[in-house]
Amino acid sequence: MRHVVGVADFKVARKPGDIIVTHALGSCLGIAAHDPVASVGGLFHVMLPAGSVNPEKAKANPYMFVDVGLPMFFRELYAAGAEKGNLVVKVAGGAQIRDNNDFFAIGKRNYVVARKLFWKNGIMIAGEDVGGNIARTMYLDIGSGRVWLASRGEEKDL
Amino acid sequence: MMNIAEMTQDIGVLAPMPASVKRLSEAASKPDVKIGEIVEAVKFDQALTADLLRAANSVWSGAAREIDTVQAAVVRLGVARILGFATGKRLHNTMAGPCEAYHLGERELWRHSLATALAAGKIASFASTDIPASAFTAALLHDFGKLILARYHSAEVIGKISALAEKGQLYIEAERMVLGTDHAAVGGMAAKHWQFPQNLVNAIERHHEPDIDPNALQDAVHVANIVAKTLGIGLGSEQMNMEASADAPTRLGLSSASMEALCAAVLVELPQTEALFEVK
Repeated sequence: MRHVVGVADFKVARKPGDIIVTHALGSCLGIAAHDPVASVGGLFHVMLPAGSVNPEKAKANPYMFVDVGLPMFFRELYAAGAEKGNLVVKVAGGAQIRDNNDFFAIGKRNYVVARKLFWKNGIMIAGEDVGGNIARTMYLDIGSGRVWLASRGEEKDL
Repeated sequence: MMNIAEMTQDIGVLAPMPASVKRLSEAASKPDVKIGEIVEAVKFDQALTADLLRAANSVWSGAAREIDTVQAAVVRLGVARILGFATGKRLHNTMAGPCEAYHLGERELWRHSLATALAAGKIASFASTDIPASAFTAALLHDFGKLILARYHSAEVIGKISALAEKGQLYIEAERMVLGTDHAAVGGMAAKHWQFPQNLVNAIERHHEPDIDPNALQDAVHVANIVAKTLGIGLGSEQMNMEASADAPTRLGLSSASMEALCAAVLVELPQTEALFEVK
């Protein structure tokens, strides 16, 4: 079965035939996490670095923000049977327009916050394709743990 | 090279605009618009009146009681939304279709335009400067030029632009190199053809170059386009290959935190705004 993840949302799946996909990652980050032992995986499409810009929205939709949503996404993975030590984490997206002042660098800020959270929690990023000014579509195959990207009509494994 | 007279005629065929929209756009571009002027512009256009009453009674406006006069609808919706709605309703069918040469599928150009319009309308609540009510409409039309260019050029020709852009060329400059013009200039031509006020024409024409004779309307459309792109909505072959003006955010008085809050607000409100244009 194919699950589609919208912006500020995630999906966790455990059936070997399941594929999770998220489209049009602009400055948003796609975070895929897969436990090959438990055969559990999830994909998270997150939009903004910090919930502090809007505490009300962070409460209503925590999955909009990396700092609030990422720990919750991982808790869902653990609840589905994933073990922290087995998780293979891959990150894509975080693109942005050309901006010398980094005023609009939401993509970069998303990535920085995510990296910091992973580092604090002792989680390694096994593969990443971030930055640039292209949109990406990200896939996770639960059976094999394969993560791949499609961008400008081309596919590549992560 | 394209023939301008031919193209102008084509805009008329592609998207004829009623006189009421021209009058509304003039009223909305003034800082001190009176409700009476808006009512006058609308009331002889029966189709628009019916659409506006439906909109005023829709979920979008949060109407608690039945709205049954143009005057009440204008008060309920406000000038920005009335002009945006009158224009968008006319162009919805044209803009919601695919624009394949620019790699925009069904509804993609429309959603990008609507997200930009929504952002432009919302910037006023984050900015420290006044922004004309026509920002919503200018933003809605900012990429209209892509639809026109796609009618004149094959996907193969438009594809040459992407090839240059992938080599590091700014997309709009690559467009100029391949086509001798760009989607912003052609969009401005359409707005001129519809006899929209000059500041609205300029905002479309300069949405990638807001530093030319800058004003709040131009800056708002420029930043709003960045919001829609940041959200990954309708990127097409242009992708995120555009240059941000370093000065536009300062002129508007925006902080990067307000930029993030703006993105969040647009994402949350977009489905509702989309639904409004589908109201039959």
